[in-house]
Amino acid sequence: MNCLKRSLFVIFLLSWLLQTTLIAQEFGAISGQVVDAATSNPLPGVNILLQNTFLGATTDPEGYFHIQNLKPGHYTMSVSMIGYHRETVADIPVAAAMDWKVLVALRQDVISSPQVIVTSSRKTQDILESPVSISVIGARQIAQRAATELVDILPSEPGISTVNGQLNIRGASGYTLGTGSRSLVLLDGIPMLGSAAGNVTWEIVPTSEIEQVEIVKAGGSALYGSSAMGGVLNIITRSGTYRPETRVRLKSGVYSQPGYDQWQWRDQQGLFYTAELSHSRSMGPHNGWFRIQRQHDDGYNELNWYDALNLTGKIKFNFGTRHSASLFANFLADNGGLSSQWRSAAHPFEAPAGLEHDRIDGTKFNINGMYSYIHSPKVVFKARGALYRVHWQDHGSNTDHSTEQKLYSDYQVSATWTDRLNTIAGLTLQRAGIDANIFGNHAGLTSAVYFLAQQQLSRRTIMTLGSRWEQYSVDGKFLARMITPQFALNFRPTRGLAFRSSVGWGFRVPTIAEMFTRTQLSIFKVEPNPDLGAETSISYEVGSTLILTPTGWVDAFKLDGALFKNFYKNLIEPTPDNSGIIHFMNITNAQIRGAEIGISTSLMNQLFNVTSSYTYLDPVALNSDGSIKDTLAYRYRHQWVSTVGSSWQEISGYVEYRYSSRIEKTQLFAEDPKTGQDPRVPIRVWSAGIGYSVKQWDVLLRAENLLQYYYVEVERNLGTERNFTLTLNYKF
Amino acid sequence: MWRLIFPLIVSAALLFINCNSPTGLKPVAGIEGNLYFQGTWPDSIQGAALVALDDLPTDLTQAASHLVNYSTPAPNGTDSTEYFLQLKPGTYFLIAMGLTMDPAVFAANLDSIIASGRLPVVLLDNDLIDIRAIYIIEDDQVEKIDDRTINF
Repeated sequence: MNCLKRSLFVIFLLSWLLQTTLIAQEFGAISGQVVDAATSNPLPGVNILLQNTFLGATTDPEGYFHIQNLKPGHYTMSVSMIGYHRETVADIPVAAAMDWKVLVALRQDVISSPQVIVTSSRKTQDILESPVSISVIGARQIAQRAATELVDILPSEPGISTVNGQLNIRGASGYTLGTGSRSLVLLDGIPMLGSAAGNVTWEIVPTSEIEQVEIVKAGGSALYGSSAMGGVLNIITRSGTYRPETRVRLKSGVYSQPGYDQWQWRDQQGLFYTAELSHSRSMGPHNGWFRIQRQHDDGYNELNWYDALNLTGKIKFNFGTRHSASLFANFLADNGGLSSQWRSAAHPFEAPAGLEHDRIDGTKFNINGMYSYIHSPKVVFKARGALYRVHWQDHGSNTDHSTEQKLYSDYQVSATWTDRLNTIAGLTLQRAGIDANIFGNHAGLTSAVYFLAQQQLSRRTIMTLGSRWEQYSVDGKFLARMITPQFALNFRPTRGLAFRSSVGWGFRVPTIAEMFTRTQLSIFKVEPNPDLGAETSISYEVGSTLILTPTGWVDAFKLDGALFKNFYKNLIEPTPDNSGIIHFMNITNAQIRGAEIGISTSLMNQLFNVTSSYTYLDPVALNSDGSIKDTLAYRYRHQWVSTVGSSWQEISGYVEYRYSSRIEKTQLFAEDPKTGQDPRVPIRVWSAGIGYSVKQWDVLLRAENLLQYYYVEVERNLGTERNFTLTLNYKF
Repeated sequence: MWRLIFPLIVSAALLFINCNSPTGLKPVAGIEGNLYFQGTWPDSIQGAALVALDDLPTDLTQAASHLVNYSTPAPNGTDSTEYFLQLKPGTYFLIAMGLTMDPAVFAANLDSIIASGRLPVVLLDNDLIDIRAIYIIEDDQVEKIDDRTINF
């Protein structure tokens, strides 16, 4: 009997080996090396992707890669890495039992704006193939500005502005005290808006560990659902390095004393610092990084101080060629002044009398996971999950507190049906629970299914068609059900030129805060409105992107422009009634028309680097008959940001200018110019930086608001005072 | 180093343009001080504010047409409040008024109230010296005035 078993086992083993050999003989492979075009040094960590499949690889420490089990045929290989131009190797002939060798040399990208995106279609694609307008900020651009918080550098992109820290993509959100963002913010593809107020906690974003930020500017909820009606901002964190790398980053700075003697409020200048230690490495096929950050800021005004401890880490698991997963975790404990307005226009840096000691502390914990399974070269499954927990407590004139928790899961299948057709379908479930004295105890449940198809109509034209069905309930009571389709066309007449047009429907369900807040704001009471409904939108846009290949004295050139028109219905606004009681209400219909243009160029071997963007908005509230009622509050009609820079050996420098026109309408306080100076002045801020890099050291000196220009973005809150920052980076 | 010259020239030109453009916020003119309340607030008064008038009418309920600015109203029961009234250079009278309506309702309907010509207020000052005092505001000047006490 044992002999029979052994014989059967040997037969089975031989059959399996024979089958494996035959299968191996049926398939081919592509392998090779990626090097730096200028130095010929091998490049580790380069992403290799075979177009129209989900197969790919990442180069090893010596720049080598190997993709096997390929069916015979012709493949196009995309090779990309942050800081380098994306290269495409077309028409690679793969034959059975053959290993095709490729050597790719990547050129450094002097514009430093990445060209490979993942957000606008939930898949990896060239920026010129995007169906909608998208801006991309690379790690180099973030490092150049030495920002601790990402939100500080966003307004340099066309169409993006911030109003007192609240993100506005094409003016969608205005300013609503941080609640109810009309732009969805994702961290590695997972929503990070708070479940109570629908706000963004920028402090938990690990700015120094960002690989790139993608901002989808066309509104629409087809792929991402509620809150994406005004656009989507996706923060993509980096992976671990192949070689062990430790980084120390010390940032220290000083605020200038106010430029007018009357405004001086403290004897010594305010200081701020950030200290970071991070370590990154690979562990076999897996890689990861961990970061600890300590932050202190005296603040430029009396209630602007801030202290935080932040622990962040990410691990990426690679289980063979088909399975991969990643885990991201973040813990933040912070404590800061609670500022709502200045003491008076005569003392704009000081806190209102009696509120000098108001503060808020809290903890935020966030864990995101993603699992990917390549079922076949044409089909891939992805599952994402997240837990996001926030607790905060006011100390001072009131004792408001809140604890909120959100569980999120998303299951997605992507399929390539033919060389011309690919689809994405998915299911999203989210549960949020809130326990707060100002909102009460509530639970929200979201369920959604989505679908997106991209069909290549011709060699140069791609059509995108998608839709999402989403249902939302609060405390078990049905609140809203929406279907939000999207249609887009992308036409690419030449390799570096693309035209795009799209129409997308969007919506946003009211947040728990908007429905249930009961509190006192200055002399105003805020009362709940549980009957609040969803707001909806339709967004149209046409745009074009031109990327020129380096030629003569032009090192790089990118031009992007768009025209857009967004209609909003039943916009939710905090509105005082005749009794002076504020309710959030579906108060108005609105229309925001506009145009944006952005240019990035590098000339004469980086002698002259320029990026410049201009955005025009016409934001109006509409009557029910479509006629114009009023200007929408807290929107800049004109915004212009320009940066001029240069590099010389290890030294680089730049000067940046930001202009935003005067906000025409405010909502919280009627700032009457009859009583003196109208505080709503245009914003004209100059900043500059100079950097020096040598071996493992990077040193950056930056001056922000160089000319001490004073302005407010919202009533009774002065913009940032001039400050000087010295940043030291050391890698070993 | 010559490579830095070109962008520096451009930057200097832009700075020059900016330096010749309008400036941002500057110190403002106005009146500031503290208002104290002694005694028990009457139920009929829901809040109190300091009001700046550009002239002193005989009937103070007709003060609406002379109202220039008012401080954030202190609610009934307050012991003290700090105020600042932003004012253009000029001559003003400063009067403590009791609001006979909810301060929030007053703020929400201020335009209608001024248009009606009648302020829902009662005079709280009981010292004629305070009422008739003239305050002269000059450019960029914040006039700090003595503490004022309202006795109910």
